[in-house]
Amino acid sequence: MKKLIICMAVVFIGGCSQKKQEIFFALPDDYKKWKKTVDKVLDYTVPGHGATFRVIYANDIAFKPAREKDLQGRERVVMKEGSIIIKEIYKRREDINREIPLLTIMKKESANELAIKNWLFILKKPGQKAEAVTGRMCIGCHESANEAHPYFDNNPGNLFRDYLFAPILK
Amino acid sequence: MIMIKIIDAGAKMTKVEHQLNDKWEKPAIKFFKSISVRVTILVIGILSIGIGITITYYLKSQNATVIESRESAIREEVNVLYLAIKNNMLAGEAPIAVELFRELARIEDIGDIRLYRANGISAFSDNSTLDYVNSYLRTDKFARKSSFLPRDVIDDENFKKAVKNVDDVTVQDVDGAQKKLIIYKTLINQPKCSRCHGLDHVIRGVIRISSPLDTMYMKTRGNLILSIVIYSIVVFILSLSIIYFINKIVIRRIYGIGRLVQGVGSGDFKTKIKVVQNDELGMLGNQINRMIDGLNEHFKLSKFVSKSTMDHIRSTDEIKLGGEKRIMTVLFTDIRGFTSYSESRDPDEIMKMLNIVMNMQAEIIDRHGGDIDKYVGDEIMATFYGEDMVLNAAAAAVEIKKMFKERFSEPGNEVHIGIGINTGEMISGNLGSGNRMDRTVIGDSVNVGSRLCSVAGKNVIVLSEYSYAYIQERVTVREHEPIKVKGKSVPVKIYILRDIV
Repeated sequence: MKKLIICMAVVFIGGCSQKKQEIFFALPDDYKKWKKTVDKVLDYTVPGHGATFRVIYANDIAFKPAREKDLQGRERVVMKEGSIIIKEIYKRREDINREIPLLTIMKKESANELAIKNWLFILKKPGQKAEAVTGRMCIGCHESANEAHPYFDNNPGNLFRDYLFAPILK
Repeated sequence: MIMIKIIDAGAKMTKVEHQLNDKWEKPAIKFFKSISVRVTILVIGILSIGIGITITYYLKSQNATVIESRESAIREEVNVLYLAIKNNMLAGEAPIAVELFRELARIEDIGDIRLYRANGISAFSDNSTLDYVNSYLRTDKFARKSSFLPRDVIDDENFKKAVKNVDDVTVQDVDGAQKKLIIYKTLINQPKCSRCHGLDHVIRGVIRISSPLDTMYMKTRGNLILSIVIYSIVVFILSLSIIYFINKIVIRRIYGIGRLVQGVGSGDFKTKIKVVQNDELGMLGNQINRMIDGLNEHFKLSKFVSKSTMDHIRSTDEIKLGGEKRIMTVLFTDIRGFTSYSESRDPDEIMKMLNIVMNMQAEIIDRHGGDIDKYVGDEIMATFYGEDMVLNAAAAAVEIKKMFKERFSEPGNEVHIGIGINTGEMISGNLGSGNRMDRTVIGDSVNVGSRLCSVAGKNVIVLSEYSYAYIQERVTVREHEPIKVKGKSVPVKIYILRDIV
């Protein structure tokens, strides 16, 4: 319990202090009708999100990534422009679909000057305007999605997944 | 090359130029009013601003590119270091990372590279991180170490900023004597790190790399100084070239035109501008040549017309036939004994003497305010106008008589003059046709004057009673018997003028 409180405090402090910039992002009203990248609620603690309960939705574009080859001929997964992944973050499991959650959003928008590695990392707190996270808070963790990691299928082949941990391309 | 040369028909240009140079003095123009100075200032200004801005922009962008490139290289070094640390630590090979830092510290060129924990204490300086990791590991714990890197605590704002914002911070410390680029690279507690390092923190540490920029700044400064030197030389040479060509193409030619115009003012209508090139100054030269031709014609023509005619031309916009009545004095002179004088002499000598006589009379008449209306053979008709017209005419007549007595009384070479003076109403105006006219005076009073001249004896001045009435207080005369004059019903009283009182 003590660890959980510490983790939440870290996440809260981290969320407050990271580099942010106001950005226009219209949250789709029907995003809860989108498909989930993983069916189950993610309830394990991770750095950056702490001990929270997370539900991840993605729009249709996000479920149609491209398979390409890099200059060395290695296969890679590339998300299409307009792909949106919305992660709902709840403090308690019983709040899921009852309370308005904190949202962390990834939107593929290469041309946006606030984009990092072609992605906009957006933080949307309940009742507040969306903000782009421009520091290394998000990307610093998500860049390890392109190599073997401890989540989901563990990406054992070190496949470039365009900074997404969830194996969207089954 | 555009050139204007001053030439004289039949004479070599250089000679004329030298003659003009001897006579002509360059006008004193204030330094900053001079065209060459103004154009030079303008050119230097434009070059300085134009090229200066371009070079400044170029150098700034070049230097910025050099700095950016260096910064980019340092970033790459940091990223490589980041990967090296991460991968060594993932394999549990902290001693390799420690040795890496020791090795890096020995390389002078690479700068100062250090790794700090998020709390500001240098990494690998004690066992605290290892103990923390071991607390997470239930089995296969790491053995405690005895060899550490020197302990160091960082407490600067940029470090704190990097930790607080979870972002890299780059600082260009270029104000001091030692210029350097400092990068604070955050080590994120990534998912695969968190198995050992725990889940309760985002940042594991910060790599601080401080790379010297002195060499690069020296290089860019050298570039700047070299560019300024080259730029100054280029501006100097360009300015000299422009001054030289402006002087050659414009100023000298303007001075040449100035000399020529001054010569024209002094009566030299022979010298011309030789237009070699039809540029603006060449066109001006053509115009001036035409103007000189026109002036020359007018100058020559002015010798054939009276002063009053010239005055009339100057004061009248439109010259037309007609005249006006005016009270004037008319003076006629006629040479006596000229026939016998010319019998024994050749024509050249006669013409020479006649021209001398006429010239001297003209000079005297002119000096007394008279205007020679016309020459008729050896006869002169002159008019006087104004308040003292009769006295002036009388004075001129007395002087002419005196001149004849002095110059032409030698026996065998005797030449005499007869002079008649009358005053009265005359018609002064333009007589003739629309295309060819004379400006003259006509009327009975003129005829009376001519008649008086014809009755005047050798070296005798005859005044009409009308003229005498004006100046009787100022002259000594001898009254003569009246004479009959055509157009006058009664004889006119006349007086022989002896002298002016």
